[in-house]
Amino acid sequence: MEDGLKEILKGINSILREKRDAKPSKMVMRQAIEDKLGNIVRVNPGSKADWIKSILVVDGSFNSYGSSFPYIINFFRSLALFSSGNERIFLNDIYMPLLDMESFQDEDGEDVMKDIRDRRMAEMEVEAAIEGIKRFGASLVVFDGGFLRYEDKAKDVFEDYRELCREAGAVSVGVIEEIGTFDMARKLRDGLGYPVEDDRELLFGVLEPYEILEVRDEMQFKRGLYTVFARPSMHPNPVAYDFFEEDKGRALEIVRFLISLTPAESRGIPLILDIVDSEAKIRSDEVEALVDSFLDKDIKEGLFRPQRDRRFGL
Amino acid sequence: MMQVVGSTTEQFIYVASKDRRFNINEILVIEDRVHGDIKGEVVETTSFNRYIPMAGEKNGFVDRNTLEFMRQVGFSIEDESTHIARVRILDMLTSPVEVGSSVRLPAFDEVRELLVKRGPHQGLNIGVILGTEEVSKGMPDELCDIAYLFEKSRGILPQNGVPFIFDYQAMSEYPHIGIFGGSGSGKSFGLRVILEELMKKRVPAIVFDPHFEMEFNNPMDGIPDNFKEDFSRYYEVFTAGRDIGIDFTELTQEDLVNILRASGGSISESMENAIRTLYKRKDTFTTFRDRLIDLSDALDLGKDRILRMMRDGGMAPEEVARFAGYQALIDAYGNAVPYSGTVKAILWRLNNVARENLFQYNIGPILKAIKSRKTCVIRGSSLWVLTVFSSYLIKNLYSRRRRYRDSEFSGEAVEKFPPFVVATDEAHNFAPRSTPSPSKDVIREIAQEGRKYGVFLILATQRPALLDDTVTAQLNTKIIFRTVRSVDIATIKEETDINPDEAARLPYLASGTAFISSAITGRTTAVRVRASKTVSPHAINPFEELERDYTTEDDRLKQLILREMPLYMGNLRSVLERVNEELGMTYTRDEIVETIHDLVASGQARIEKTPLGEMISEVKV
Repeated sequence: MEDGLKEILKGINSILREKRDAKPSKMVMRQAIEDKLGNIVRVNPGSKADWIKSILVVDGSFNSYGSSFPYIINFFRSLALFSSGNERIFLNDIYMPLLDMESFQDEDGEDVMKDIRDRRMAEMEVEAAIEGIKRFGASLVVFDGGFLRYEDKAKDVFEDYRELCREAGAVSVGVIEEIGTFDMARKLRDGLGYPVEDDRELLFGVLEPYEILEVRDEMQFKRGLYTVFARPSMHPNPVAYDFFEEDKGRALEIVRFLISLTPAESRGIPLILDIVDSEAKIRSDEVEALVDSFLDKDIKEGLFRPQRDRRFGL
Repeated sequence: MMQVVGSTTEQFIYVASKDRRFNINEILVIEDRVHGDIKGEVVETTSFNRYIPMAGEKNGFVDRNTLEFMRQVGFSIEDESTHIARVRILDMLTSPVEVGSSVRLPAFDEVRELLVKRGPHQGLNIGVILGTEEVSKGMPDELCDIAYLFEKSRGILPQNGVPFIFDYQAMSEYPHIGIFGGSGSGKSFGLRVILEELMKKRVPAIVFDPHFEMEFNNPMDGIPDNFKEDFSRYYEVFTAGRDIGIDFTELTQEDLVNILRASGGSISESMENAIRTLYKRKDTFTTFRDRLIDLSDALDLGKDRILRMMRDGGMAPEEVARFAGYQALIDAYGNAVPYSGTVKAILWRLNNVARENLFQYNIGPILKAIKSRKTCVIRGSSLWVLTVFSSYLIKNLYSRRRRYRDSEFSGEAVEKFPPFVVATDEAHNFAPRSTPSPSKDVIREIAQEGRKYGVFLILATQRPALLDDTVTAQLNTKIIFRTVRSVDIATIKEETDINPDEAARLPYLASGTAFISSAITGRTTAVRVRASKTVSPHAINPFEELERDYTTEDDRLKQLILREMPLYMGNLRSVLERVNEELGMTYTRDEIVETIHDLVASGQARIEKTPLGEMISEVKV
């Protein structure tokens, strides 16, 4: 490797080392968390509340084909898998900016397209969940990812969904593998005398396996929602679970149940979410096959085929 | 439902099913829109369940608990199984199979042609074709219950598939059979099954039996009556040097050289020349041996000394005659064989053979048995005796058959001699790849020419890589059992049409399961060899034998002694005599005393002191 790069990496390592060495001990961290944020409860994995009769698991994926904006085809797929009878609802869609140029007046096309794409994805996941509840009536709906994204990108349909859940008596939970918030870390930073970056770092390796952190109401930071943290497997990574505020009373039961669905050796998310994730995934070879089969060759080559495909095998 | 999935070629496809597990080697019918119904054979099977992913770096092992809770909310884990089969297309296609084609199991009539080329009475019933369990349900009665199976732990099992019937008559076009497999692979047992079938067809055979296991009069335990067969009239056992041997007067120079070479490991060129020079047609063993002894003595004396002694005179007339004889020998052979060491080395080898009594008998009994269409099991006191004798025997029989066949064209009057089969285990000793062996040349010759004369080889070996490659190349049918050594697998790959999938299975084949690669069937068939109707005399585990035979011996002794009670320790002699007489044994007094103590120790007898000494009486329970 280039000497320059080596030196830079070495420098970065020593900075991080210093920071890490300064991290307070696990005991100190736990004390601070219990003082300021909420109770740490240890649960036994392997329990299911009686009211959980069936579950609906929701995830989505997108992939794209094309060269550069606007010559891009976006493929979307969402999946709601219902436990009884392994029933599946697949929703599929395609979005092509080329056929929607009025949405791209003077702003940066790429940014706008990304926003449209994120909205469409979030909507389709919620739509699959709505369809699932209507058709099967699940007692628990599990989303791959937190609720903030749906509130942000699919506000209307998510409100409809929340309303539907209330009527149907379904409880929803969003499982967040990669915690991206930093609200709790900020609150604790000063007391610890150590600059914890974010909530994930705050909890990483601090909770013991099967421990749940019940964050007190006044420390909840997502409006209208209720979030619980846990270490659901042997892996030290913390996982967050989003609930609607109105379902707060059921949160602990549900987290216990989700821990039961999480293999002890896994990285912490329920097995069924992994399965739905891989089923929903639109693979690149699938995209290629669709494009090859349904677009005329001149259209494909002339408009969409990325130049990098034409490179010699380097 | 079964369906063609993924990408296909004209030779290989993948078939998937949600509900049906595939069996290896089963035949499937692909209903192709373009090609019509196509047949294919399953060569590899996989099942997976997407709810139970592979444990790996990315996802850890899925514990039962997790699955149990998934079941509790209604997931049916089993329904997510998918079964995949890799299928080799058996028809010749010119374009790939259509993806999405439906696949079904064939009816028996659809695959009859492919699986059963001959009726059960026209061929050898070797076993059951793997993967034909389901298709065999529509089989006609004549194909049922003709090949029972055997499993070590479960005994005799019913036939569970289509029988593999080997068209032995087609050997006239595609001759010779090779049977390969390591120890415990079922190779010897496969050879036995083939020999049983040949006996049933009354095909004359010579079977070399280096392991003393080729007896066909012990029926296999537990076989049904309709499957039993009495072979005792169809075979005879001969032992070289006991009831058969080499007729010295019939030997050629070549034969003699071969025999002597085998008896001593090797011979030098000068020895070979000496043998050729010294051996005369019509020699008997005695005339030949005496000539060697005399020449050796004469060479030891030396020509000059012999001449001097003759000239000096003063010898008795028989002495004169002896020295005259010496002189004549030296005159005749002295130039060709100048050293007595050479002659002595030949003599030593000749005596080796003679010591095995090989020259005291001839092959008359074998000729008689062959002509009455029997199987002749040939044994020898050691492997070298057997190889020496086998080379002589095979050559002799082969030339008889050849002369007879040739005479049919030349019109010469030659004694009739039937076609026959030569079978042996440990064939790499009889026709080794790189070392010389007395029988190699004739086996090679039969391998190449035997078909013309109706002489066929069945060669079994656990080391195909060590078998002469000219011979291997001529084995048109190869029955391959479990093989572990990579050199042997390489040889098999080279010499047969087995595909890489099958080769990969070779080290893991169950005992008694074999791939039969044959020019006669034109493809490789996986077969489970049928139960043999008979077992080898030492199929009994020696440890079981110990329990069975020697425990009873001990028990019988105890019973007899108990019967003699009450008895007195001071008077055991009469007991001893009676016991030995009854059991035909030679127990000593000490052994009887020991047994009495055993009986006392185990509470079956007790000792009492009486005025007549210690009295032993039985304890009745």
